[in-house]
Amino acid sequence: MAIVFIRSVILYALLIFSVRLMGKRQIGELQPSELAVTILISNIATLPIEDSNIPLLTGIIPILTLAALDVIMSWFGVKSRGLRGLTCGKPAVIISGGEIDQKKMRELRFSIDDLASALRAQGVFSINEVQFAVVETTGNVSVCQKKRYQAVTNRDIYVDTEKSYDPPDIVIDQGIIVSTALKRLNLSETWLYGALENEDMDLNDVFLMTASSGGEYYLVRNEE
Amino acid sequence: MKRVIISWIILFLIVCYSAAGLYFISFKNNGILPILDELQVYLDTGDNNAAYEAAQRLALEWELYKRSMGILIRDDKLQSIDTSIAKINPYIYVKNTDELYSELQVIRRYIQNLYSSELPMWFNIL
Repeated sequence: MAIVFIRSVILYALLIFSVRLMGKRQIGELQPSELAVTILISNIATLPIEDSNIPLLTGIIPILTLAALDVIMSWFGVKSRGLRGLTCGKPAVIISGGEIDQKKMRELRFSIDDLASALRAQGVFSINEVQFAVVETTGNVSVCQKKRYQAVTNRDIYVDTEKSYDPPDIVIDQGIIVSTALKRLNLSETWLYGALENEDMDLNDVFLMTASSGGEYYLVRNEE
Repeated sequence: MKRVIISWIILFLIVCYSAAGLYFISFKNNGILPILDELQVYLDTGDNNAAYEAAQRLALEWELYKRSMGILIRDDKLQSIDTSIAKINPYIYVKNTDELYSELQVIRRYIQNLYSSELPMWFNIL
């Protein structure tokens, strides 16, 4: 039992390392090649855990190989469009100019129900509203609505949007300054302490503080 | 880029490990096969005491072999050799030469197979 426990701990650490190595792409939407790697890795990891006759390295080596190959292939994929097309496929346009490409839909084995469901997921409830739709390599459908169905933007109503800031980020997390966020927002610690002084608060009094690069901030006081 | 470099390093280390693993199996085989030859010679000449002593050395060497090979080779492959080695001493004791020769051949074949089955040849890969 102890062997199974130790093996599980080692493989757990290894799996976390592998997923971290493969990067954030792996955690979100999976490309076909990434999906294959993820399924394989999860399958391989269970074998040495279940069967102590199998050397642990027989599990570790394929996991590391697959994770490393995935990273290297995606690196080559960035450099070569052809390779990217080969491993990930290409997005397919199924609605163009408001017209459904039936041939393409048959090719993708994409039913009308699939299309309607994908559109609803994007907040579009009538196919008539769609100007352009693409089935992405991840299987998601991206939709561009016809102009008359699109939401009004600031530009449409001539609202001044010259000044725009990045969204706010957490700069104090339970009394600890998040320096990387401050740096990204181009704010200094002097500004931070100044803001705290304005609120008559100490660093330890802060449960959460968010700030935007424009200097606007939001504070939540520590309850304890 | 850091991830790509780490990935290349991992692949390089795995290739090195595989090569080192093969060398290690071959090295360990070279330690155990001569003892089998020696044992065979003693049995051929009818020197049972020397054969018994060689069998003891074989069992000792095998224990070390098994322990170190456990990280490279599936346990069930080693288990078959373990069973055959366990039979050698009783066979020498009861002077069952036919069975003894047969077991020695089995051990030799299994040990040689451990190496050949790890070689990256097309018949092993497929």
